[in-house]
Amino acid sequence: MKNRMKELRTERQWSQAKLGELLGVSRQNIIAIEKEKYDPSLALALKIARLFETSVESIFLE
Amino acid sequence: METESKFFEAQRRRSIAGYWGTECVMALLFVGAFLAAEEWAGEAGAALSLALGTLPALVITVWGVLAARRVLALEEFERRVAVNALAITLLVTVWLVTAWGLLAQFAGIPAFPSVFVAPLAALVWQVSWFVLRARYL
Repeated sequence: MKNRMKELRTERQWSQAKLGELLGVSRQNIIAIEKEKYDPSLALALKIARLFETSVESIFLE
Repeated sequence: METESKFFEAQRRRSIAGYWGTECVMALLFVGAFLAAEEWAGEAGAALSLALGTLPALVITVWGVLAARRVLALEEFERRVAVNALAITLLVTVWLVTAWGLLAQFAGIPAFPSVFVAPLAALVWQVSWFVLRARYL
């Protein structure tokens, strides 16, 4: 699934490690999501949306 | 790297070191228990032989419980990789043991020693975990 994670993260000048810490997941998780090789769980997707102050569907695109 | 990130990275490294330390200790315990059983089980009395024979199985049980607890404690991405690796391990181990068994029965190759099924599965699990992780990242 396509997503805008990298774009939103770099806008805030956060490293992958920093984002991982903020979300309570590993840096590897962030790398896999940004590379679009792994789709996060619903709970994590909601957490990501909350952190970036936007909706899930504006981050994760079909 | 920020101080906070360094802390988390150090924590991750400690966790990895702890994991490999545990794996090495459990592998050594298994080999030790297996060798002890092989060396003394026949010569000892029936009760002691039974205890010696049970010892490697006990080590495998503890090893399995520790592995399961570790997988359950992983965060979602790592857990998915671990569970995928487990599925691959199941398929590969079943295939290998069955294929070997068929070859032993019909082609006359030596039978696969059943005591090595668990260590073989552990090895396949680690390799497939490593390969899957590399594929995702």
